[in-house]
Amino acid sequence: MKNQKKWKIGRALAFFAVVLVLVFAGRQWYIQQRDRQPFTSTEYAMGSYVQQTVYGRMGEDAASEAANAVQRLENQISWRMEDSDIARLNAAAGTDWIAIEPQTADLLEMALHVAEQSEGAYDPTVLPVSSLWDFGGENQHLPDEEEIETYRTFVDYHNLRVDKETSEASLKIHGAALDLGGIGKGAACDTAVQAYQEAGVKAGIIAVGGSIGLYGEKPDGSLWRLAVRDPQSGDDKAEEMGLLDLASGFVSTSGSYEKNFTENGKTYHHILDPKTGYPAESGLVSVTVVSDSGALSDALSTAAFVLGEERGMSLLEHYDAGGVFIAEDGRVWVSDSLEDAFQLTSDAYTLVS
Amino acid sequence: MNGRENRTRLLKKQDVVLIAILLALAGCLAAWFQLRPVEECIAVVEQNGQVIRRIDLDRQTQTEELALGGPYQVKLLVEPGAISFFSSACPDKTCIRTGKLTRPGQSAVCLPARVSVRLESGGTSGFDGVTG
Amino acid sequence: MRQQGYLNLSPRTQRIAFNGLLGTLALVLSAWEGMLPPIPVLPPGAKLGLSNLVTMYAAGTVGLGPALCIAILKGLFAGITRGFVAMLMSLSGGVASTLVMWFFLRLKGNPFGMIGLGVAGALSHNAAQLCVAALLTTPAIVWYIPWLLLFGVCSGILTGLVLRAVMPLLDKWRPIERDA
Repeated sequence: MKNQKKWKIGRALAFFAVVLVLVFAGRQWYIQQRDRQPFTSTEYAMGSYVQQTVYGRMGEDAASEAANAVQRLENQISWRMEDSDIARLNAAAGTDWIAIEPQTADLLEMALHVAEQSEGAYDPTVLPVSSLWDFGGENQHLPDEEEIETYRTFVDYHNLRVDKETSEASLKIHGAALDLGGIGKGAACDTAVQAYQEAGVKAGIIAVGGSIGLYGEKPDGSLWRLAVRDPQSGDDKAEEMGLLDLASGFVSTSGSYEKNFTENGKTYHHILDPKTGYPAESGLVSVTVVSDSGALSDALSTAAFVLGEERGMSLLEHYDAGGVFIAEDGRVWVSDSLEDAFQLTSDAYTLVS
Repeated sequence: MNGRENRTRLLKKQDVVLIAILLALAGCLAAWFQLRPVEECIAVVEQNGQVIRRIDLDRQTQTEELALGGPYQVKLLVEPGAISFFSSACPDKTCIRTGKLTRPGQSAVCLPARVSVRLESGGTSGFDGVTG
Repeated sequence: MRQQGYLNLSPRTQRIAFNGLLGTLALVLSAWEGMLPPIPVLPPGAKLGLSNLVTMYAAGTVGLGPALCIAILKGLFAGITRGFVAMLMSLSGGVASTLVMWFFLRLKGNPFGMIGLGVAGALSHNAAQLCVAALLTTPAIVWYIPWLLLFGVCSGILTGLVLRAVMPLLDKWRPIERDA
């Protein structure tokens, strides 16, 4: 009788031990599955879609934290946002110095630096002319030549002064106006990656428009694989012309196909040459830049597009950035630093070395 | 449990059998999920950042239009293995010009209507993002 | 021997009082469970389902009607305190598990012991909730199933054990008439 009872207890204990082990195994399996399954989200900010894929336990929190940070950045640097640093600077153009957020000051300084190095091919003060064209807006049209001539005189990055020490900036003349649209999407990627880092996620990728920020290593250990959009694609198929395999960094692309319109049989694209006030004609249709700063990659892609292949490449070299340039005639140049990472996948293009 | 005399016992043989079957089922399912190759190409349709539809393009057998309504009357064209914006009343038509999406990683967006379509796959095929 | 009712209440009043007691117990248990910190490895929405033991007991003693009432009451309570989605989840899970447990109890020569019943109840609870969740959100939660099975088995065993322990207490207060 006693033995029987003991045996029963033993059997019950064994039963629960088995269940316990199974629970533990199940838990491990569940965690592994969950981490393999990334969290993805799409939001809208910076006049564009923000797409995130975050791997790791805190994925969802990190993604929403990143989205909030991007929204805060937009409220701070979009000239369209009332009370943003940039809107206040534009409103005070020709008067006094304005106190701005340190983050805005950093961005302005970087913008100024790229403007100087590219000799104005990228110019953060292009707004007076770009607003005439209103690419992608309700009122996009070919402006009068005189209009462009008039407003072009306000476009000059020398009018922008930034003091990082005191976190202040000013626009020297009345009528000058800033538009950080050329670096905003890249800067948003910087902000998001910083949020991932702070949240302690395993890995994450954010795409804001054509800019991409990479953080960490994917759970399967593979490199991030990015597709470079085929400029000619669109009518029947969205295709890529090449692939970029990267461990980390930031990627931005400026392409003439992104925003454009046709008037009187001529197609006008949105990447303006600040010097002429008209769409840049450098023979390029797309410039992709890889850098360790998102804002920088964004500014450089615009600058290099305007400068053309030769001068664009040397600008990238100056900043230690890599690039993929695609010309109208199908020629493709790849910087030395990306030679191994880039892989051409379309027959319509030829690599030039 | 029906009264004191006929009290339901705590553990019967059948209970153990039931539990064993369930655990085995859980194990098999887990193993199946683990081993199953993830190749499928799922189109995720989002409006205002909310997922509104998930379409398995590999299982799509016929071509159909998917009307999403809204102020821009966005219509998607769902085909076997491909999805695209078919029509939209938005001013820029960027979404339609993006063309057909066929591979995981690709996406198309109609900004004014706040509709996005992206192709997802759990596997390693395709790519993680598109620049440009 | 069980106490012959409390005070001099009529059998009907006693039944109502007892059903009310069970309903309150279910609410208290589900509220208490809601206060516990979320178990981090659980899929979103999955719960221990302690209040299941009340509906299980009710289904076995006072009958299907009151048991379902308790499940619905619990769902409405979840609706008031945690919103519409929680209400749908709680209602679907509660009603499904009550029906399943009642069905097994009614079968001639109920095949399962309390643990088996608890497991069956917990699993039907989870299954119904998973279906609702799949309808409300994306079907991507399908791969939770193995883990939910495992979890359901464990919480079912727990329910059975706890009920075994508290049953004598509940029986003390049960009106003697309605044994069926």
